[in-house]
Amino acid sequence: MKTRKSVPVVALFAFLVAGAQAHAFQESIQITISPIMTVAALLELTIFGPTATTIELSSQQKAVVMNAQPDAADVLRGGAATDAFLAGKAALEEASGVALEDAQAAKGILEAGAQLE
Amino acid sequence: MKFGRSSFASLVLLLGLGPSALAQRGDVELRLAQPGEPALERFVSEVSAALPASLRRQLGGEVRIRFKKLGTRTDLAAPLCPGDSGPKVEAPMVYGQSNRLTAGWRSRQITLHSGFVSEIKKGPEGARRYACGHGDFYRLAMATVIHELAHLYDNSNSPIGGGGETEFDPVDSANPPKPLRSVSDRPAFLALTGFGVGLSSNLPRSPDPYEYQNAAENFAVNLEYFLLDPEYACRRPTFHDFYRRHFGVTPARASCEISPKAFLASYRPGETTVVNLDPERIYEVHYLLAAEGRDVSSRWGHAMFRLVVCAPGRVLGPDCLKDVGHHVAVSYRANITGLSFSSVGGLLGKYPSQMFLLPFLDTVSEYTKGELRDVLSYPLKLDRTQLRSFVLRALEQHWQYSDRYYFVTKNCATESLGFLQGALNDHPVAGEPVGIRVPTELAELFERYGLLDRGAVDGPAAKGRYRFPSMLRSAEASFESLRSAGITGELSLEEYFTRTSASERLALFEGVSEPARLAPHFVALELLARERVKQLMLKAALEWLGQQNESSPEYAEVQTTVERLRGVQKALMPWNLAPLGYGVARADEVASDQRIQALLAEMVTLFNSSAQVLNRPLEALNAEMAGIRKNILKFLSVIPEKTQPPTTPQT
Repeated sequence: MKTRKSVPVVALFAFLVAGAQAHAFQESIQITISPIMTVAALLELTIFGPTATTIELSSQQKAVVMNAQPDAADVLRGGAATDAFLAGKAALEEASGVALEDAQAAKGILEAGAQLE
Repeated sequence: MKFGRSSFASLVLLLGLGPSALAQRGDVELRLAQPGEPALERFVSEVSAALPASLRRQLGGEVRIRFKKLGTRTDLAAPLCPGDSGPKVEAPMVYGQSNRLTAGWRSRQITLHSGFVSEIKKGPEGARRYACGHGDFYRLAMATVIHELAHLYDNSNSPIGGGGETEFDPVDSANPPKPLRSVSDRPAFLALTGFGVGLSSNLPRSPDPYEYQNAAENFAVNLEYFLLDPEYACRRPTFHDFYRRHFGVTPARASCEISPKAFLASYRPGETTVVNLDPERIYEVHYLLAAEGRDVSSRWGHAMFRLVVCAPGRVLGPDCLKDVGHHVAVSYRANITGLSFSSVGGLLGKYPSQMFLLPFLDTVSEYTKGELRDVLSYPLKLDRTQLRSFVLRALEQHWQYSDRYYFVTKNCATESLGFLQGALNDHPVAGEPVGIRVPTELAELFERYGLLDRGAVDGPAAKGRYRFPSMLRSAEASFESLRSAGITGELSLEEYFTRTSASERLALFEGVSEPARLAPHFVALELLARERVKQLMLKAALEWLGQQNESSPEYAEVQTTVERLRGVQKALMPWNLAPLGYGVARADEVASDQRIQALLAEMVTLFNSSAQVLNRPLEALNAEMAGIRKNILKFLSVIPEKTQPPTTPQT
């Protein structure tokens, strides 16, 4: 008897189907960041409002950001910042060079995730 | 008997040594049956000097060494090395044997193949060389004597061989002490070798495949390398620790540095990550349990471990728990590389059982997002010595573990229990019968042995650190918020996804009076919608393939691609990236970065070409996925950049 099931993601066929979405290899993504943590950024925010920032993420940063999405949604709903969320936030901060508040980071993680997945 | 091929060891173990062997006194003395040849005398002295004092004492008495033609082969052939096509051997090559069957009433005697005489006379520098194992015939001759002495020693520790000590049953200490078994038959050694969990394959990267004949041969082969190979401590560190503890000695020759490099398997084709499994950089080890799923194959959960690897620069300590992007999951799985999973194949050992090192966060997501299962992470109570042993065991298994998966008897639970027993082979848990296990009972079992506290995953503070809830739980909370606001009408959560499209959900959102407050809930629900669409894509692609005529170009293209991908995946298995050497690979034995990158690039190319074919039946679902993406961005755009106070009960 042969039955079909959704095999583990490391199995080859799941690779194939995930690839049908054709987003995994995108090199850069755009997220909206209001860089309010520095004086210069504060001026920029005052004058221009939130800016779209193009950032490059390494493979590991991508993975961390993608996996932080559920917890980021939770933060936006008022939940606690988990280790996974904080790792995603740190990855975005590292890639953008901007310090972020939790809510900013949560939005950035979800924006990035929408483009990466 | 040291063979190139087969063994009589079980028969030998049955008969063992007779009572007269019990009366030996003093250290064992190795003597040539025909003394006088200086080179051979030096050889015997060298072997004797390599033996641990406790082994010499245990054996006692005299063991004679003689040289004679063994088996039907007059020549002395080199062992086959990995990659050798090798001659079609008509008869097994017998390098040596001992008179273990009759040693009780005759003096003990080891016979080496007569072909060794000329090689020993050439000395260690001049003897013929070969490209694996002990490397030359002089050392092979030494190893052969040690191998046979290992059997004599092993038998001398058994009840019929005179072992008079006793041991406690670690599972039930109320039981009376039992006679000590031969070393190779004790739980510690069976756990170490994997025979305790029904090892059924010759593992790759072995110094000598003969070790997989049985536990007794395994004991003898590994003693050869423990005593003769300066790199043994780095190639088989947990075995080295076992022999070091057992004999109370570290061989003088030992000199090496363990290479902690390992490859993480990736959830994304074309990617692989190198991780350093340095025990000094690992804070804790956890038992990681993916809770029960709804499928038959996931009904009992999935057993794994979590290595809490500290980020570079982080001081080893509790803060390492925050470095989740660096943590590693250790997961035994059936490696299914085809288009479908056969349940019967899973029962009958069709698939390899392999240990994967995986990015921890990806693993958590696989279960919490992809399969909507909770994941629990129980810290194991290990001291630093035990943790070191655990990590080194993971390295050993990474480079060589590939056995057979059996759904009932050799699954993730038995493999994980066997792994822990191998790593902690001097702990009472090593004596726990493996039998038939399911993952959900392992936490309780480990707690019984004082190795974990199941309460660690409870309480609000454990969420996101020791307890990772299914995405379904947060979606349910968000759906309740929308329902309370009168947005979803009579729809259930299930119907919210099955009866609405992305564009209809966008319309629902555009109709709400408090978009900023409710947007986070819409986002949470879209994340789950996306996971559902991924599953539908997988199902649709499989159904489409099933409907294709097997001779159709589309089917053939996918089939060909899968075959080629399977080849690339096989080439990327650790033991194929380092075909020479044994055990944990030295850095210079691993394929070059260029070679690995070329394989990964080939995987991406194949992957993209098959994606084009598989995209054809997925147009509608791709459109839905694009709608979800648009929804998430739209919902996010109305959320103020200030954290909202909690509006719903959090899971």
